[in-house]
Amino acid sequence: MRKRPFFDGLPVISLTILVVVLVIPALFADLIAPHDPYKAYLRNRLEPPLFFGGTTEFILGTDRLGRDILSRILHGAKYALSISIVGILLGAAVGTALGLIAGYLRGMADAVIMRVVDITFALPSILLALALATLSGPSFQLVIFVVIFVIWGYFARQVRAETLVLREADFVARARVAGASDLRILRKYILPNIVNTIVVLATLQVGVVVILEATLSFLGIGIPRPTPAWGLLVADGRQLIVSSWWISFFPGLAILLTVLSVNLLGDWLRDRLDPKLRQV
Amino acid sequence: MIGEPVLEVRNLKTHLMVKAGPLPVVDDVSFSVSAGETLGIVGESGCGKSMTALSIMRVLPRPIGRIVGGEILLRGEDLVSKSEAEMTAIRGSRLGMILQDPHTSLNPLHTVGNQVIEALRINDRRGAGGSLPARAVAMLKKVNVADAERRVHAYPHQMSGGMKQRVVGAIAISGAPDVIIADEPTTALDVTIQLQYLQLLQEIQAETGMAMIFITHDLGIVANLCHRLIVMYAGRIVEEGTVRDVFKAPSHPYTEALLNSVPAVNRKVDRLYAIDGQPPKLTQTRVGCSFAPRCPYADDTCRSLAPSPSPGLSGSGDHRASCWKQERGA
Repeated sequence: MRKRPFFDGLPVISLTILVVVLVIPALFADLIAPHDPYKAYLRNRLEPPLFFGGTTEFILGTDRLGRDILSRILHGAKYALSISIVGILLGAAVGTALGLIAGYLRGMADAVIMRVVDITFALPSILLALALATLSGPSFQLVIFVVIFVIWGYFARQVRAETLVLREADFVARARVAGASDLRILRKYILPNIVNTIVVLATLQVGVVVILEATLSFLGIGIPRPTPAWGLLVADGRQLIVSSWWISFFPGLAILLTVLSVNLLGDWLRDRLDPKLRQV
Repeated sequence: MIGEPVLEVRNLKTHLMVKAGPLPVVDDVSFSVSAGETLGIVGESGCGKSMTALSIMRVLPRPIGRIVGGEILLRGEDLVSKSEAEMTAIRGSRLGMILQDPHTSLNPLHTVGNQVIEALRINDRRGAGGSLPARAVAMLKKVNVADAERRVHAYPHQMSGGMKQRVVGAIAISGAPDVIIADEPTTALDVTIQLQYLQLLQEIQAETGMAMIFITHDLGIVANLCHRLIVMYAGRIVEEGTVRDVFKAPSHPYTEALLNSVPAVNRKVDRLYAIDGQPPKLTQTRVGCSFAPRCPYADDTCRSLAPSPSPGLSGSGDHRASCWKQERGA
């Protein structure tokens, strides 16, 4: 007799939150946002949210310039989602390629690549971003670069570890003696067997990337103002956190919900895709 | 039908570069195998049988395995000097290999049909006719996979060990290689399947005329399947000759001991015979005969001077053994 899991609906709830908070706003912000995110309603500055003395006009209140918080959050999802997708795809591609090379070739290539990974983990990414931002100014590309820099090492390490195991597998030896080239072995025999890991790792990295993007924006070295990136929205309310808490609170809540649900989803996915944990 | 020599190995030396220093896992090994001939290589675990095979295929463990001397001539072409790209083209099409464990030798993510098709596609030398799926079915039929039309769509986990080893065999012969190396291909199979598989290999050999190198520690298989045999010990060949000569008049004490270790079914014994001691550690520098510490006949000459192969035993030039004591029994 196998116990039923305590609650089966967790991934469904996570996915729903993710879709409602991140995906739908990112794709349809122009249609669903009640106001222009850049438009300042100067007569409605610092309006509180509905149920806290506000009106249905600005459900989540307005900021110092009278911009609608809800609309800005909805538009901000675009940046969170696009940076997550682009950054993780590129970071995973770089990390996977180098991890495969390191694990398969061993020797010198392995040593060099893994030491570079160690170095990137040792370098404070925020400081690196600060340095780069002073050189080139904050930009979307800079954020993507920092994201790749921060996450590729996780992919490289994990992929290398699994490649080390797989390269010794009998079916890889058999492929070699049957005349398969190294490239073919990597493409057809090793990569397909580690795709699960890459997918799970990528999902778990979404949370990391959203936080990273918010952090960089909060510090003013991420997406440049006045773009409504979530980190910037939180930063906007910094000085007024006591009197007008809603300016920072709701963007912060969006970040929290996104990261939490994406992590729960990643954990669930990991358990599902790991044959050792999967119940028959 | 035994024809021309196809593969000649001359003075092959292979080292594994480990932290403790180079390990001479194959030390000055020479032999040849001819078309249609089956050569057995026997010896206990760690004697260098498999490393010899991996050296010929040039698939030694990377980056520590290295061929440090000698030649491997495949129809006169030296494989040792080939580039990795040239070897990739040779493997599968001119040299085939069957590995020990069929359960892990196939990619779990692809159907067996697709794996045979892949081999056919990369190893196609003559551009034989017919569509690839049809040829894959034909290959499976050739290795006696029953119901091949349906089985091409099966995944490895849906097949038995014997079936999987047949598929591995089909992949190995897909390029119609000149030489096939079978590294203990029946060790993981149960006894009834073993016999079927060996018969299959013999049939394929009779049909294609390929040379076969059969690595095993089962002397019974050697007696039934092989024409000639090589006995290896600690990376060196200690005795070689036709199966008949070696079984009739084993001239190296190690061969004799191996033959004595085979339990006889028609005699009742209290204890099975075992060779005392362990094979030498390859890290030690070797003086004299490697087998001397375990050899009942060893004397001071054996312990100080390495013997060289002396030919002409059993009244033929083919039977030779590396031992100071060959006249012992005679």
